Amino acid sequence: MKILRLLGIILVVVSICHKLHAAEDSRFVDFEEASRLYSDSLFEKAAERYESILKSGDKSANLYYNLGNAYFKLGSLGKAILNYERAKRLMPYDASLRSNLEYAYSLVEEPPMEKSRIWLRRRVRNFLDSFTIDGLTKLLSLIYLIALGLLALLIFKSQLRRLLMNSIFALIVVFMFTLTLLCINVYRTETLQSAVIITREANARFEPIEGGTVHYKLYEGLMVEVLKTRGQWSQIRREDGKIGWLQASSYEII
Amino acid sequence: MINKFIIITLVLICAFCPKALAADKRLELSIDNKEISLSGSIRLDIIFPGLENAPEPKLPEIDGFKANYLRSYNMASKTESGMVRSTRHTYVLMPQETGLFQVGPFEFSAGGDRYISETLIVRVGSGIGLKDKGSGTASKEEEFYAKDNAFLLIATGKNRVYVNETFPVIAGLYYKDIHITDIEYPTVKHGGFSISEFLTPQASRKKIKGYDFRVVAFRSKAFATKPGELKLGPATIMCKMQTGSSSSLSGGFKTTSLQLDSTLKNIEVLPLPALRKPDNFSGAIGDFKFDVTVEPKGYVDVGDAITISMQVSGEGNLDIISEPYIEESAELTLYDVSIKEEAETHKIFEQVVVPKSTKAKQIPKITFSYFNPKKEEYFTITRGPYPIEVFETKKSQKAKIVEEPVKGVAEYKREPIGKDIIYIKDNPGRFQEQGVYLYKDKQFLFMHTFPLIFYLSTLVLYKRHEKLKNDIRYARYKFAYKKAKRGLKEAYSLLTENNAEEFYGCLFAIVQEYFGDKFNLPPGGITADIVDRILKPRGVDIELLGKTRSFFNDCDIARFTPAHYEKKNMLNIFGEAEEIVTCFKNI
Repeated sequence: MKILRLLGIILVVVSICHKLHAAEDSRFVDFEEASRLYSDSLFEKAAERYESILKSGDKSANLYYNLGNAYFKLGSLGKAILNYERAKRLMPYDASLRSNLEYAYSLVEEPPMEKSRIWLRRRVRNFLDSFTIDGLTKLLSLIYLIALGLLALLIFKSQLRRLLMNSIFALIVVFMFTLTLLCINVYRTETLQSAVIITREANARFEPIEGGTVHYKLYEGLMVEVLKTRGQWSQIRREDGKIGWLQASSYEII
Repeated sequence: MINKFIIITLVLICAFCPKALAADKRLELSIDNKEISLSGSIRLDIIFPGLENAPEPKLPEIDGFKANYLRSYNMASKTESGMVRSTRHTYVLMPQETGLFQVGPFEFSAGGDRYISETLIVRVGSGIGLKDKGSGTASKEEEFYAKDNAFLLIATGKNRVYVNETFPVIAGLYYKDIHITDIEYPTVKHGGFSISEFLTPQASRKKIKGYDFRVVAFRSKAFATKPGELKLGPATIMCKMQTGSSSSLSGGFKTTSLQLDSTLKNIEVLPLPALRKPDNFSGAIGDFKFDVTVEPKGYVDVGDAITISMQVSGEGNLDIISEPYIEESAELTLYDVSIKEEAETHKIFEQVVVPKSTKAKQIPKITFSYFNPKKEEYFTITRGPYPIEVFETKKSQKAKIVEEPVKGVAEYKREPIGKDIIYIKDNPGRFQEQGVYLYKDKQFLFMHTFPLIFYLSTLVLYKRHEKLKNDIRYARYKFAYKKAKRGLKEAYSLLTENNAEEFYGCLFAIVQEYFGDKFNLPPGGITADIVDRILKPRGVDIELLGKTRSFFNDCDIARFTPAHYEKKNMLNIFGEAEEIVTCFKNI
């Protein structure tokens, strides 16, 4: 009886693993197919295939990167930047991604904004973007383990007390800083909602109505922060701090 | 021989020394008008070329003029040899009498150099009537009013003008035998005309029909803005008239306000002829000169700015002149034209053009068209085209000049590099669920409790170990029960062997040590009196106390008379010992 029960459990586990593996296999097949379409310069079909993988609920940095490339080739600068930015959140140090993103941004038409105001914002944003949420979480975990190890060592090596205590204090400072960065990045991702303009040109208005006075213009590829949404309209903030109402179809959240 | 030598030496000194020692420089003089009436004024500019902040020159008296210093400023101008900075001093010359007068030559010292100017000739006419310029005779209109003590006349240079053609307007106040003060500027009704503000009035005297009139002349310029039979005037002037004398009985001068009105001037305004009107004509009317300078000349780089200065000078309506026409070129970027300088006699336009590529070979023709009202004809002046040679950016050229190539090192040339995105990735990498992050993973977070538990356990065990090591009382108390239990096992084996003597001795020692460890006492001194000495004050159960006392007493007896005890008794006393050890475990 016991043997039968054990066999049953093993069968269930194996079938789940098999299903998972099969699902992963299909994604890989789709990815390869999309990449082949891209190589044949069928960018639109390639983008559709990449999008279909994303619709399954999974993501990967390379998937976003390739999708960004496909949109770039299609001339959709906004969607290209959007996907590059999504990839950047998963692999901020990838050289190819950085190069493509930099090139894409160089093609973005910028409205005349006060440089001194956007300079600091961009610096801070670039700094924060260089840390992924999972990367920061792993770093925190590592600091935590090292700190516990040092505390344990402190029990047995009391003669190294001064050195160990200084090290632990330094680790606590690094831990707090990393934790702050993590909180900020989580807040930016979960609450702030950065978005990219995906239409060629969009008008930010003073009021969320069609005939509202145009406050300023936004161009494809520009990044904005979505503050709140009311129906088809969203209140957004441009990099220079100017706030306006924009039609929700004009942007996509990163 | 000696005389010849002296003469030759003197001749040489005379020939070369003045040039060598006294470096004379040319002082530039300019006036805005060479022919004026007595009521007018002229502006005299004295320019020290190549000298900045030159002090105000002490102008000598000029025959026929009274000079008033106006202002000075430093200016810079471009010449073929580069930028030349100079100082300009401006004077206003007011004629004192009619005739031909000489202005200059002037000689000033400034900046260690001597400056000598040329001579200018100025003709000063009399009266305000323009028809009798310089003749000194009165006009018919003046003669008509000559019997009046005061009258106002308005005079224009022409009675027939073209639209936008400028003509002088002079309002003249004539008075005799009365004293006039507080003269205000005249106002002129000028429907259909644009009239500029009146300049500072000029006072003079004039004989009209034998009467000696004082004349105060206000000068201005006007032009018609529409064609037709238009009327200019009347001009009106307000002033105060003083009558009587200081010796009169009524107590001195009597002042009364006086308003004088002039007659109207009929002016026929003609439209500009449509015949042979140039295509690029933009309304300039007068007699003009047109000069163009291009800087830098000849060689430029792509993206460099070329400045075209276009000067229109002469007589005419400069106010309405718009910029000359430059043909458009696909290879040049033309920026908006700006007015660099605007004066009474000239207007300078500045146009910046930038070559877009090396294909640009010339600055196209520049044309300026105007209508000359005297000759009643259109004229077009064309300047250029100006050839240019455009090179690539200067940076590379400069680098070639400044950086001498080092031997053995290949000369670096900027390679034209294309720009595009980097190709797609071959594999998708690690897939992960969207919106899932490690910090939300409960399993990941739970795993972090293990190292903490491990650390805390280590800490507790270490502390306990340290306490057992350092605190003997605690160590004895902690291990008393275990030690007693171990001893009881040994005693039980003696019981099974029926070794009564050793059994009682061992059992007694076990309980004695147990109490010694429990209450940190030397084991040897523990007997039945422990019950009253140690256990009773601790509130131990009376029954247990009795059992303890009984155990010690029974043991004492049995140790010394073991033969009297059977195995049954041994079992009973072992049971008592076990019960005592167990009962005192938590005390």
